Amino acid sequence: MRKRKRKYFRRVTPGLVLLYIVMILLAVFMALPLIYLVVTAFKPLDELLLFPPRFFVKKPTLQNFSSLLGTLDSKVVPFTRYLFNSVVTTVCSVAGTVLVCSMGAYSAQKLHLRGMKAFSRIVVYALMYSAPASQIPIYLIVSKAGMLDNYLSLIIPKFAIPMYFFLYQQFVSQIPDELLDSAKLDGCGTFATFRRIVLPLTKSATSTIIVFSFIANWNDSFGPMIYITSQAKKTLPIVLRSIADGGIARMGAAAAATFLTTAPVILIYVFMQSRVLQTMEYSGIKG
Amino acid sequence: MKIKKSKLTSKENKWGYFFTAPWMLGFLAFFTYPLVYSLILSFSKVKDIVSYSLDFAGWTNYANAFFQDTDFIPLLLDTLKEVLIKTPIVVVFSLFIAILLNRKLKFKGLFRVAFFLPVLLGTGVVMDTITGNIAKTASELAEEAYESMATSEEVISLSGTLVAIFGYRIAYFMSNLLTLTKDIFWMSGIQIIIFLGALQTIPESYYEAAYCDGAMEWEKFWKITLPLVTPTILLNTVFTIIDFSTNAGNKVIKYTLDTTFKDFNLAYGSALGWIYFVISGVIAILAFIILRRFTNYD
Repeated sequence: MRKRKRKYFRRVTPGLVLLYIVMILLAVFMALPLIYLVVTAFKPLDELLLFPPRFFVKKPTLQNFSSLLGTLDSKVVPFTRYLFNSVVTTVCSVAGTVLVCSMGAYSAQKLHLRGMKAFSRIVVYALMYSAPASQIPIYLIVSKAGMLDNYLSLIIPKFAIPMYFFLYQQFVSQIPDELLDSAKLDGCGTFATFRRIVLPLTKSATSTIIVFSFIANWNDSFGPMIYITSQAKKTLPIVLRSIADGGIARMGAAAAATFLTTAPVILIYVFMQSRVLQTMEYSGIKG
Repeated sequence: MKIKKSKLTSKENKWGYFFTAPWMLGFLAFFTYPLVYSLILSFSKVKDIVSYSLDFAGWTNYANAFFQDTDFIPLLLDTLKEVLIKTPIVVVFSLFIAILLNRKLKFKGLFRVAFFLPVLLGTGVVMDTITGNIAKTASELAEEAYESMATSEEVISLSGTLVAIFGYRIAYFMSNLLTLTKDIFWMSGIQIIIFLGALQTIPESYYEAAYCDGAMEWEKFWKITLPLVTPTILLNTVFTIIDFSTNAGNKVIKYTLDTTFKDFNLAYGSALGWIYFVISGVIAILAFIILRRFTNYD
């Protein structure tokens, strides 16, 4: 008891101070892109154009946001439409991938199907498989399935992601078989077991996957660029890019749009933060 | 009894297949099939883009990539060099940070969030713009400073001062260093978290025993921490290599995508993709084999 107390009143050593200083500096450096992003959104135009650029804002304004609304109102498609597109495709992809990957991982780990163990091992190799080589065939599949210029083209290919399957597998394999057996004895069918036992026990994997999948889909500019042709179905990253390409006159609007596009990602992360970190730590244990 | 059991398993099997079906379908349609198809495509020639018919072309596309294309090989070498240099730095850096974070610190949670932040922005247009801006700024600064020196105008700007103090070469070197640091710091969010997880599984009693035997911090690191995190080092190294080689900012990937979707050179683009895929795979496997020799699994 006494020993523990003494630990609390540890003296401030030079080493400890140094440690804090180093950590704070590093943390600030890591947070720089985010700070820069927020600060830039509130810079008036003359500060945006300043050379050499200044990091912090001197006279913060909301002028960028109003100019964003201005540029977008003059276009045929209103900003809210892009927002709607982004929200719909992202939410559907996230929900789909959570369902598909968790169901797949559960059956691979616990339902003793023939060949499933070997198959799930292949998935691990698929993790490192680089995407560019396969973009053309995916495009061909999407176009043959008649999904071009359709929300589905941004949703369906995003369901079966090896990384998320792998994460779910790590968690499902740690559920004891006895628990599942006792559920069965209590009259739970396979689906009920999945819904009442597997899903609740893999909650932290689910929240991690929600965050990652949300980020990936929300920020995806490749999909809408390739598959979507009509302006009314494009998503936010595309608009962001076209605003950013508008040159100096649109610089303020671009900064504001960047800020608005990033905000949901940050919010989602803040809400799920502790669980995400837990999952990453947990899944790393058994390399 | 036996019959009953097999009935149950067959019923379970039915559900099992129902559960796997969506995953399997997705995986086959959007991962396996494209992979196989792009391999075929890389050995063919697209005769006509509209009717889309393929001709077998042998190794032509690959030969073109190595002997005809003057852009691809330098890009490839550049990217590989980058991966080989940055991977060890990222792994060492993230282990270092994880060890610091594992100490009894106040505001530990806040620090952990801060180190994960770049991961959130990492994939998007946003990060492209920001890193683009900063990199541009750094090199522009150096350039501008060089010019202002050349014309011997007043040295008022920060960059000018920098150059005045350090000279053009060093200012340029510093801006490069900044870019490198930024790349490394912002690529190591996930690695730090994985290391932290491993560090937290090491029992406190090991360190206490070492303390009783009079071990210093330094010795504790070499004799306890490092051997126990070797499996995680292996995992993180392979993860980092993969992360670098599938990263959207990767120049080879950008080049491949441009060849494919801007120039509509489908077959050649697939060949480029496969060359890069195989090479980065070989690097990852080599790293795996080499590191496994130093890894102890309890």
